[in-house]
Amino acid sequence: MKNLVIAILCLLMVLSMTSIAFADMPTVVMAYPTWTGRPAGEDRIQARLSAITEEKLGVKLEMEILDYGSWNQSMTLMLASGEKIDIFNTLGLGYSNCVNKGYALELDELLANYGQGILETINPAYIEACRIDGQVFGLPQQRDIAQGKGAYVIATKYLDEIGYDWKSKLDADGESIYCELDEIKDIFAKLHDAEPSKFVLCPNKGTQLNNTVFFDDIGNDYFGVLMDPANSLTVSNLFESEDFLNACKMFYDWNQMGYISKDALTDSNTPQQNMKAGLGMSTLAAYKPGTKMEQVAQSGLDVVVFKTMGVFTKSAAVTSMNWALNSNTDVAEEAMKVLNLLYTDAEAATLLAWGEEGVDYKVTDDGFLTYADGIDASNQQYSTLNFLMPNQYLTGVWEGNPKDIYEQTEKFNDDSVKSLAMGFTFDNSAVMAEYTALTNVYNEYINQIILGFVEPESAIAEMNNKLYAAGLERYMNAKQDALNAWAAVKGIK
Amino acid sequence: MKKKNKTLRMMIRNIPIYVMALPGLIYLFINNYMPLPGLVLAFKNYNARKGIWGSPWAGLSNFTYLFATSDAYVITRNTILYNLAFIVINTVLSIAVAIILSELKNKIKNFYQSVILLPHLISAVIISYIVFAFLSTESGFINNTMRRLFNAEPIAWYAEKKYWPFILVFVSAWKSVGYQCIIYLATLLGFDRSYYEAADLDGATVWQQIRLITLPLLRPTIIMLTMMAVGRIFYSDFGLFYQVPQNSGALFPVTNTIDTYVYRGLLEAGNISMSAAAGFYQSIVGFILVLGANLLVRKFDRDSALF
Repeated sequence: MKNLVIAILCLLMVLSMTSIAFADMPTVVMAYPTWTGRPAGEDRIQARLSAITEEKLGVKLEMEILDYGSWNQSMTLMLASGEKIDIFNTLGLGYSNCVNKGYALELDELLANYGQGILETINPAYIEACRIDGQVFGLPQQRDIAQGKGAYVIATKYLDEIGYDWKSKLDADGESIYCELDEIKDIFAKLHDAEPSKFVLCPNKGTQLNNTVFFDDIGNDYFGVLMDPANSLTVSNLFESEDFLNACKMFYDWNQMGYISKDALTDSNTPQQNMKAGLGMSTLAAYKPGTKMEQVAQSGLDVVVFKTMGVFTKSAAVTSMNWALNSNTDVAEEAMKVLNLLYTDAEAATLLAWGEEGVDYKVTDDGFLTYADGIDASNQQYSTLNFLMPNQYLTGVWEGNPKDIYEQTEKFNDDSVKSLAMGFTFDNSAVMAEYTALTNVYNEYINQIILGFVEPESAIAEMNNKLYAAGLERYMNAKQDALNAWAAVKGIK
Repeated sequence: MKKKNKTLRMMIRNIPIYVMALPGLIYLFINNYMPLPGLVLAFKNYNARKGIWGSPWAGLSNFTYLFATSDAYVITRNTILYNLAFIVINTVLSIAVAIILSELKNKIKNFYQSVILLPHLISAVIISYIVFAFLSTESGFINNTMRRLFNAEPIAWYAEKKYWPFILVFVSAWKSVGYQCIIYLATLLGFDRSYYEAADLDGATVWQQIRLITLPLLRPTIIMLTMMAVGRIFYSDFGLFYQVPQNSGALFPVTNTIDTYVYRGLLEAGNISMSAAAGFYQSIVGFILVLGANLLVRKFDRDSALF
């Protein structure tokens, strides 16, 4: 026992001495979430990454990888309590929220001095979109900024069953079809006849609204939106719009006809899990280059993506998962240098996104990345949210994707309909009481209405009454005023 | 002088007991007293850069959202009425179960005691799925049984708010009776058996014994536990009201309490000051209620009052 105590004390002493020995090299801590929490190989990747930053920048790098389930709370606490976090991602926390609460540091000067590579990498329009009150507080990554709305993802085996000739209708990308909603309705009716015991559609509660109505949820909430975001900056009530009513009517019909599970309101399985289990035949999602592969990976079924709505870059799209520096950081320069490296250095970017070559991934003969020998999704030691990383364009293409997926993504972004309000953020702290009440009304009604569990016209009227009673008018006015002021500064009419 | 010496001697003699209490006291201090200065956040516009003390004062504006709309009435009503129902029903059931258990043989008593304690140890998320297994519209136990037996139309449990006051009360009792009854049982077993022997000799029935001996002896415990529950009457069991109804919007009118309202409203906004305001409001009202309840108890039964 005594020996053990002595041994522990010695160990502590040695440890404290080693930390003193390295104390002259500043440490930058970088925090980001994954779906699964801290990967087993974090220490290994951290050591490799840190070796690169030590050699190139003279900075040690530490990673703080958190489970997305507790990410929001943990980060809020860590940022509020002044823990050592230097670089963090605003995913889930809200970019404008981080700025308003004083979590994020102004970056303009740092960018000019230490972030030249970043400025050369990111589309300047996107950096402009990150300005709040004249300052940049966060940086978007190289990813699909735009979003294709209203994509019905239908498993091909059921399409074959009803004799639908999807192969001849495929677009140039070989995985999707542009079509009108009427065609979807037609296909659904046939699918229901062919497989009455399966649900035609497995809805996704969280994204249902965004994929059935075309609008821009400016300020990141649904209380006052732009219904014609490419042409007009007039804030209006989404829930009184014709489009919303029509979408709800359609889903009400589908629900009445038994296309949707009666448990859809409380189902916590993902639509893809339900499809995989053979319960349902299709789902509604957003699309982008690579959607098919994602869906196939999750549901295990070959699918076709039916695109019914346009591609749209909404006002908050650019800033939704910005990289920011902690306003309390004591190593701001070093942190910016590290970010700059991650945006521009292929070796570091690849290490961060995919791990070590030969251990976590390998390069196939035709130049794609795939799992290293003996590794698969179930036993991999390192994985991240690749789209979240500063520059995935530098990191190679995972097997199964088209070789030019990153070029496709850029084109997808460029060709999209862009919101006039791109970059607008709304500080709702002055109307927070209304926001809280509105959110509660919204949560009470939205899923029942949008999934067609209640007769739409009367339920929508009831919801609107409650929204107005909760202060929707005042909230929308505040938003419109903020938007007008923002537009005046940016010179947009 | 002599008296002082006696106190000191008592204290010295009790040092081991103080030492035993120390970890608990330290925990209490760290967990319950050290964060108290943080209550000031409820009156500030918190900004991380300026820190707790440097952030600007906000007056009472952080509290307004709690009272701003008609929801304020619904959430307050739900919170208080449910808690009152829980206090009454769970206390009555716990005492009944404790009395029954006390009459059982030791071995079988331990078995039952463990079994009814089990729900208390299950996390609310798992309970929500147990409830879901019963109530699911497509595949739930109740709907399927009713269909097979009576050919009944399935009920969309998670969309019909009229059932939920009963479901919640039932689940709450199922979850907490096992724990509460242990406290009553421990008290019960400490009673002097000679009261009961004397009553037996006088020919008192079991019911008379319960009514005239057990319940009066239990009174201080009942009052203490009830008062502790009253102090938390403005709080709600978050798991019960959020997880068990599966956060179903249709049920909000009967499941929304102060805690779930604050959680839903602030989940995305992440406003620390407003959450602190809600907590402040709940604690102050709870504090006043405990003081008031104690005052009442002291008026009617001095010995049972907490302080």
